[in-house]
Amino acid sequence: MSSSTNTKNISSKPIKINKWDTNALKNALNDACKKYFKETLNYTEDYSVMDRRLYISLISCLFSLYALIYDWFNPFPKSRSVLIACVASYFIIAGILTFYMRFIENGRFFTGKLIDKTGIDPGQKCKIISKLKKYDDIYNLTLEYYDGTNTSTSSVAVLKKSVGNYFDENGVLCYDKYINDLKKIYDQARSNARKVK
Amino acid sequence: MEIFSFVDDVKRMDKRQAIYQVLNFGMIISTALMIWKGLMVMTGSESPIVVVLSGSMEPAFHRGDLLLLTNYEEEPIRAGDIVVFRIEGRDIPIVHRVLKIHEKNDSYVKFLTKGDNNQVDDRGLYSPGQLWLEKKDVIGRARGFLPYIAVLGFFVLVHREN
Repeated sequence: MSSSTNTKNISSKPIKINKWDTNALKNALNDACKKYFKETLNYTEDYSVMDRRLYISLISCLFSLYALIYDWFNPFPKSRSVLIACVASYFIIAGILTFYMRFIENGRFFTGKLIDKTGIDPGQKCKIISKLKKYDDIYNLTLEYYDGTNTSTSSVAVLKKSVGNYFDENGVLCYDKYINDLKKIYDQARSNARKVK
Repeated sequence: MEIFSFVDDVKRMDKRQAIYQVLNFGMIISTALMIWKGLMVMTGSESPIVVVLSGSMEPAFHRGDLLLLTNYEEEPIRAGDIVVFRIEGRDIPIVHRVLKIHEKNDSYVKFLTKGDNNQVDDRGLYSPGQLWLEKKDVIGRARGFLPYIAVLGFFVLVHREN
């Protein structure tokens, strides 16, 4: 796919962001983590969590679009009941979306599956959650590792470090340093899972 | 080069993140739109917030003030009410006071308006041949008011003294 070669070219340049913007910091670290898991460890990304969020947003936007168009063609007093229905549904769905993002998604930015090419192992799954508070510098990365399809054999590894460890003075991400720490917690999670087994 | 860093950000986003940004923007616009439509439904008026455009209602309202309107069927329009109406065929809403009313038993009303600060009534503003306004021309009655330029004027005054 041409888009993947494009991203390879862009991501081979070191990522530079505004080091004071906590959102950009979190996104840069998340993206680097995803890149590591997808390229180096060969995980395939499972998009269902994000897709559900996108669908909920899409439905709410469709409601508001419908209200707009209906009201445009049938000026106000005639469109009253449709408007009430659309406004109420919109706010309900927006509420559902907030609930979904806050409690169900909760900072999870990567869900991945590692399918064993030899077909012997049933494959491993990984769920990664990251949290970076607004004016805080401690980046919390929680890695849940599931060995095989039996979800009871799972282990959790946590990385809690200041973002200052990974970004230099100019806001450039030191990819290798970050990947070292990632590798450590990933191996830790894997060995814990094996121990439980 | 700040602009180019933004372009880099966009290129780094994959398809899903780009869709998410678009939907995020759509949600912001939709929230504003839904709040406006919600206000429309709650007040019963097709334009629940209007800006006073002329000085014809001074000293009550000045140019730039915001008015909150309601247009409930159950509350009849009476002489002395401040109404916002639109003349048929013209877009501009006018804020004036009701002077006289003719009312029939079936609650069909005709009324005459005049701006407080004007010398004559509004018959000069109505369409040629129209002598009275009807309920359908009314957008709503002024219920609440937010002085707007007044606040800015105050700031300008204070700033100038410094």
